[in-house]
Amino acid sequence: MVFSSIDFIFRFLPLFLIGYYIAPKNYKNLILLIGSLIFYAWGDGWYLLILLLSVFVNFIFGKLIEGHGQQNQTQKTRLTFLWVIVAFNFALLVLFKYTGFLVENLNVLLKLFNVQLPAANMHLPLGISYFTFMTVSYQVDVYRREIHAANNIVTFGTYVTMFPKLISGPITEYGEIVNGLYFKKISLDNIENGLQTFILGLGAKTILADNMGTLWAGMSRYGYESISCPYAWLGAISYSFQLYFDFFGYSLMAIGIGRMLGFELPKNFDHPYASGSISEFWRRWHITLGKWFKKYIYFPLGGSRCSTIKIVRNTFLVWAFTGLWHGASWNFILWGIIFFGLIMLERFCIGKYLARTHVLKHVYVCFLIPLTWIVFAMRDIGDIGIYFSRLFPFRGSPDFVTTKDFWNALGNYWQLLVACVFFCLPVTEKIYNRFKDSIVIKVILLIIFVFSMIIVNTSTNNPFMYSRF
Amino acid sequence: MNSVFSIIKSHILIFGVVIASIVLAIIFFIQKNNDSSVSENSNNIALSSGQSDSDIHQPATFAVDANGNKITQDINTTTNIENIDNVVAPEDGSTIQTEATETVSNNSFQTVEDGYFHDSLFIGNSRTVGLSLYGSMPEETTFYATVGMNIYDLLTSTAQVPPEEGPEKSFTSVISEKQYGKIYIMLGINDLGTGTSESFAEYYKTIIDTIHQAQPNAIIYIQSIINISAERDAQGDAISNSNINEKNALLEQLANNDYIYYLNVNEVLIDSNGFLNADYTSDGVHLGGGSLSLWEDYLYSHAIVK
Repeated sequence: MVFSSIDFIFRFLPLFLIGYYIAPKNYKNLILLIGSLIFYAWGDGWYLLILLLSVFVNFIFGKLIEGHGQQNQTQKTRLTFLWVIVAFNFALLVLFKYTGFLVENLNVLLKLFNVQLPAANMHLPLGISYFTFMTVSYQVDVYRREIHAANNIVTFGTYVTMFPKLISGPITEYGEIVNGLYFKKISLDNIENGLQTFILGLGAKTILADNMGTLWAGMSRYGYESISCPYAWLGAISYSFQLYFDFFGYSLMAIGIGRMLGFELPKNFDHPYASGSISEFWRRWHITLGKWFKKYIYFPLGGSRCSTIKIVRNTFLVWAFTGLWHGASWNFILWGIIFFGLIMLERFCIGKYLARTHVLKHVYVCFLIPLTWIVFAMRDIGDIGIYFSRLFPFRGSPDFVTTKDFWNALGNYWQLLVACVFFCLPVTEKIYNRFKDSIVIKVILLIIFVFSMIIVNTSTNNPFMYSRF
Repeated sequence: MNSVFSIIKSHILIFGVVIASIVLAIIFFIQKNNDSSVSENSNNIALSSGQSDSDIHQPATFAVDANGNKITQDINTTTNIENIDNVVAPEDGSTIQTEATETVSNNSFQTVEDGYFHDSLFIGNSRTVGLSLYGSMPEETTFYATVGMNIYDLLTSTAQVPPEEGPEKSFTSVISEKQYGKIYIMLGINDLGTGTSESFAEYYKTIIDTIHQAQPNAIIYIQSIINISAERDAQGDAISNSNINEKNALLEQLANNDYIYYLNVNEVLIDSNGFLNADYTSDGVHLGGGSLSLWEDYLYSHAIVK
């Protein structure tokens, strides 16, 4: 069940909120836990059991790693427990997310010996990439004594499963929301504020991202070899906007719901497209993921305080894993390695020159990022090649290719493209923050809400499609 | 009283959203009930105009039927009447077919020049949009097509004319404001998950009747629904070749060879197994820009001249 659906907004959320608000303080976590499990089962049925297994095992190990009474628990046993649970969590992730990919690649090798394994088509349980990262961060933080283990399984279960962040993050450390878990500040002001953030996200998703998605879908319809060079660029830009507003919108909705429930979830985006370098881009795009990799992989490996060779190795590992985290496919690995290359280039070569420029650094980012997204968007490496040959048609174009496709699309989408650019600028948020309590902004938000819901309703034709469940 | 008012004022969005949600929920609910009482098809697939045609998912099982694939080809490429026994259609199908084959020989297809299409109107879905965007039909050709167009929406639809480029026009105005000499229809790929093949053909007939009323002098060409690639077919949803073949067989029977003709475009597009040749498409449904000339050449060489 996605946040921007009739089911969620008109069914799940209101019912849940009523239950949550009328529940006594001490039972709110329980209600949130139950609600989240229902939310998960609604989307992914019996895979709920995997989530429950993960919660249960991790809760026990959290306690073990913390150590009862501490003196009879040596540092060494604590570390052993940590390794066991980290291995368990990653084993689950690898099993469900990467088995198919591993088998596929093994089969390519095994072909030499005329042996073939059966293809493994595992279903990817919803949100497993996110909740695995959250449970691992919890265990490491307990081990490092940055946090106390959760007092009971309801508290811990609520932390892992809470539905606003369960499926697509933000990847939240236990310490970041421990206040919300034990002392919730629920007030009309917070609800109003959360609702504002939620509607902003809803608008970003349904009005900007989904329309950009339609523009992007047009690229592949008649084959990438059919599109003109400017249309290919427009496509790369539209996909960049779609991805940003989709994920940014989702994160805003998560943060908004979190606030309505008395939690403060961490921010996931900070105007990434306004960055002045690729390294800066990654400090502003999917912030919680970057933070996770930094804290749990990059720093433990030595971070930047070591020899150049080790810095290169550490950065490479982080980016290879970042690529792989996004999906079990070669294009994601390639995509991660491209970022490794760019970030190394900036660190050791062009970074300091770039930083001195004012306009050029933005041109540089705005030129490169859409290209990296093309690699991200296409699972088929051959398609990436064709698309790049349209972006850079040095060998000419087939004669049926005309720039008519570009002008048509521009004619139909220019208003939305302008809006997308506008909402990528930091100044827009400044204006919004200044007037966000004014009645004008609230009326605009209400209109966005109604408009978004009409879009959501008509775009599926049958809004109550899932009523049979 | 004042304090209540100030609470409402400072939390106006909460109240606004709650009220708006209730109103919207009621409207959507009424809308939905109306839809299901008016149309039998409301249980079927939803298709937004933004979706690409290949995004349609409908759980339905149609086995790949090699025989069925062969049929469409046979009926149209041969004058051998023995093959007609294979038609998967009502029993009287074969008689209609026999007549058809005979009439075609009287009123046979000819090869024509660009000028033939100057007074032509092409009606269709994303496949026809592709023809308009990337094809090289004469500039005078009129296209009425949108991505996602299906037969049930056509009569009440609006579309940009030319597709994705010009101003929005209603279908009614397009067929009433000018008389065309030829009208080419290519619809059906978005209807594969809706209703039965019989109800599809029945409604298709309604469309032809409507067009014929508005355009009594136009030759109406029913173009066969183009088959899909083997890879797309293997996805196993309603978008299957056997389903397309079944509908094409019924569409062919709509031809009266007086003013309605059936064009088996598939003849030049499918491979020996009846699938859309993988070289001609990248998504398995739409022809790529470089393959449209096959379709065009077929139309140029299969024209009725009166």
